[in-house]
Amino acid sequence: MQGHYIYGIVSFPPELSGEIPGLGGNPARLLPRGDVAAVVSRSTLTSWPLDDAHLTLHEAVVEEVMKSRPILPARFNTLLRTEEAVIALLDERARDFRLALERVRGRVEMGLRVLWEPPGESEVPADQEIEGGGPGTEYLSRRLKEEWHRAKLLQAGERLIQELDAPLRSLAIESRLQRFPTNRFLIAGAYLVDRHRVDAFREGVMTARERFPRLRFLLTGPWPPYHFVNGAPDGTVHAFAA
Amino acid sequence: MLADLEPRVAEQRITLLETLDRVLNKGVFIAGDLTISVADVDLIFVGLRLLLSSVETARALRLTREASSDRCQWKADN
Repeated sequence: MQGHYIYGIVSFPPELSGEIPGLGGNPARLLPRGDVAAVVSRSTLTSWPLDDAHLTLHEAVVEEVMKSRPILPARFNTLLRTEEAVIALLDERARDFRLALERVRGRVEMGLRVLWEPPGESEVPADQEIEGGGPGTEYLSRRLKEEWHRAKLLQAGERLIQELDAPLRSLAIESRLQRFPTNRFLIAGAYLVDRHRVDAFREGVMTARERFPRLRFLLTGPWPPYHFVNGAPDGTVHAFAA
Repeated sequence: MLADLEPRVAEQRITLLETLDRVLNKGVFIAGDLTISVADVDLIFVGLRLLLSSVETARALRLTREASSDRCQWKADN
């Protein structure tokens, strides 16, 4: 049984120029409705295997389309049964799609991950110590120390994040920062940047790197604006907040 | 660590992980009975940790993707 695989949502027109091969070798095409369109290809209605080749192909279609117009990339394995279902989707969410497309027009996403060495166990001030004997007290004392240490870590990390993020934010339109996604990660961030400011943003990261030689930086991009397809910011995840 | 890894291999690995994180967890979510969401947010971090912490592991995970231009810039002092 055949359906439609969705790569993303774009402004319409223009039509696609040239053939873009999609999953299963089926060409990508546009299903327009008013001034928005879905980028689709014919597809069997079973999920595509999540491997290197398929993932890369999904991304390649999105990037090719993105060369000539803004796109809201869809998640991997988004399949709809009929053309009518795709059109209904465009109708239902036309306003959201239009707004989001305007927001990402002429912009790209830059990915930034920053690793840190969380400071080691620090001395707990005397007034935070619990004096005295039994196993219960010992347990409480240990828990208190752990809590104190965790709070200190978050504080120190947050200070670093603020200092890092401020200059980068000024080079970007918007950002999505995930704080402390794991113990070693300070931030996993995505910045929405004007195409013509990509180099300036890279320089901004270089400057941050010189300023914080003990942090490690991974800058990737430009990417399609995966993190900026709707208005709601992502939730903040704290690895330490167990 | 990463500096010991052949840069192209490291870059391919990172590009794939970054792509994976995006196409699975971000992007337009379209509700429907045929929308299959394979969200496993830990995957990307597990992968990156492996890459960062162990050259041997990263080599074992070597992938065959074609080099993808200059998308990744790894900036670290090791």
